[in-house]
Amino acid sequence: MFSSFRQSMAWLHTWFGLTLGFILMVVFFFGSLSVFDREIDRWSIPESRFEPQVMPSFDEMLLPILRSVEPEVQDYNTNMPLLHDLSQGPMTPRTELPADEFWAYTTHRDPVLIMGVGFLVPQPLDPEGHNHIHGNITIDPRTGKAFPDDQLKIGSRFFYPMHYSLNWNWNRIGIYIVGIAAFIMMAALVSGVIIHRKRFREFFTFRPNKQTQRSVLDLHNLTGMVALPFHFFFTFTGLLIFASFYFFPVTHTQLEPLHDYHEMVEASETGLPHKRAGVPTEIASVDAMVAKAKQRWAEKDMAGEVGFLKITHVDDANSFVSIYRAGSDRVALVGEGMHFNASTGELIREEPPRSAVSEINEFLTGLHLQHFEHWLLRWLYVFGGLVGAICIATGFIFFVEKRKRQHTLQGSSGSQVVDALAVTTVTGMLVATVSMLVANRLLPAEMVGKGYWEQVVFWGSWSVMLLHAFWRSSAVRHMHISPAWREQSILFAVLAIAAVILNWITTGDHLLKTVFHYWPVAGVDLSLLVSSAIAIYAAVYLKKRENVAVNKAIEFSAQKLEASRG
Amino acid sequence: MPNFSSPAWPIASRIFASLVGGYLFTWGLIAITIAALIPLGIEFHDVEMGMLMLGLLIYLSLFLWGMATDKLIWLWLILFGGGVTMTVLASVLQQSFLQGI
Repeated sequence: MFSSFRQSMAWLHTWFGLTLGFILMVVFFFGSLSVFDREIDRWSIPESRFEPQVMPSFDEMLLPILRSVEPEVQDYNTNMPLLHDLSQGPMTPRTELPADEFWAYTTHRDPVLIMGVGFLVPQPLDPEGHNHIHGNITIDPRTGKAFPDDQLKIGSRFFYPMHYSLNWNWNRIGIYIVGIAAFIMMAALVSGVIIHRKRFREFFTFRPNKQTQRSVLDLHNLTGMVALPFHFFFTFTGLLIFASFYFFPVTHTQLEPLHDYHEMVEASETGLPHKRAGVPTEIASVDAMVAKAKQRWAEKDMAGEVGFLKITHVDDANSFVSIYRAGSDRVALVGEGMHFNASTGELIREEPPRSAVSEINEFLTGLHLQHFEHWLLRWLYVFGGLVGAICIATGFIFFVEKRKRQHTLQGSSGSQVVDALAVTTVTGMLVATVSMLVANRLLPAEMVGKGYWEQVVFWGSWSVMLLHAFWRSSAVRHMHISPAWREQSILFAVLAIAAVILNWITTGDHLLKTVFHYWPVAGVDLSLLVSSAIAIYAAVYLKKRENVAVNKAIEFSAQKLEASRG
Repeated sequence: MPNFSSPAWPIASRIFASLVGGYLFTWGLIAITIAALIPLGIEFHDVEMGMLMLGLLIYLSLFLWGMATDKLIWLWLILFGGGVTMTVLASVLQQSFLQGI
């Protein structure tokens, strides 16, 4: 079917890249934003604009708060009927569910502390299953005061999940779609290198002043090649993070019996009980355990703060406390977990040195999840992601430039559709993102369901951008540049500036103040202003190119007319 | 009745075999390696993580091979035949190991 290996790779690159590229665009862009998700959270929730805090006293502050957390209504209504065994009696009322697990999590970039409780389903249908109904809470660790729970953390709870699940949670379909797209990204990178391997020099050539098709292809090759290791590693590690649960859940399905057997063996080796004993006991001082854990870390020459704390089998004789380091000083996700008996405070287990496979895995996933504290490296991640986005976007434009003439002559609207979708996923996505930030500053803080309406604005404005892109796309058929590119760039530029001004008006935090006192917010504001300036430049440049294109289009129509006459 | 002589047919067959067959083959390979190495006393999560890392790269290679090869029959036979065989064998191995404890 294909006359050569290279040709088959070109086919694969073009068609798979085109169909899944639109998803990849979303993944790369929101992945880049996710590097600063906590900072975007600070911007969108002004009450949380204070310095990052270390984990506060568990005994005095966290335990009483965790005791007061209730199971979430929605989680209870959805999952309780699925988990509970009706033959053993009616469902336990929501507020009477016993707590089984407590946890608290913070990072070096979090002023707020997120905590949660896993509540036990007393009469479960499957006693071996994970029978938890959850209740979560975000607090100000300085005072213990809770943040309203319908406040949306736009960075870590909307942009970040957008990166790996498109926020489409029905049967986790979003995660699978992103997974397929990521797999195709790896295939596109390999096939892209193969297509051009004969002319290696092409990878590092950029001729901005040649015709659009030529310079766009240059930019596509350049951005693909310069950051090739970045693209490949991030795609690969992204797949790896989800592989065991979603993409190749071999040990959670077919080989589950083997996995369960291993868990049992492991529980007997580690001394960490797999199940509750059914004998109630009290919790000893967790603060004392934290002190002991910190001392052990210091002895191992990796002194650090607590990042994650978990109590398993709460209030039971088999209860144990697990304390993990915040891994802000290295790439690998190393928790150096210490586990204590919850009622006696005695150290049960210290995690042993890792095997080579596990070290490689923790390094790779750590490389992707970047819990480390290194601001230059964080910015490099952002640029790497954006370079990937440029590579994908130029792929679309090259597709259109190469084919639009032929499509028009054949009466096909292929190029027109691809161009409109490209506008939607490039400038349209930017408009949707910044519209959400503007809505965040315009909607009153005390509004009920504010987070929901912010999401409505995001999806709504994106849909409008889609309609606008298709409406303006007929220009492509006449060999013009679609004016939607320019118009949406201008809209984005205006909205981005508006977001910065609105932040100033509604919170009093203007740049002159935040640059010296609060970088998380200054960083978001400055990024918005720089993006706005780039968008204005792009709009001016597009206007110029549109004029050139008009002359070419006139030439083209004359040719077409002649051809139809001849 | 689908038109098998249409030019779309071989490409659809190729894509299906490469994507789905490649996945099945990789699944089988991961499963049989885990099922075969655990009884030998190798750490469970080491085998699992190692095979997932390798598996992703193997799946990628199979997919690229499938998109390029001339021998569509072999593609179907190896990927689906091999995938099913290894998957079934993995279950058999698992069962005999767990019964033997």
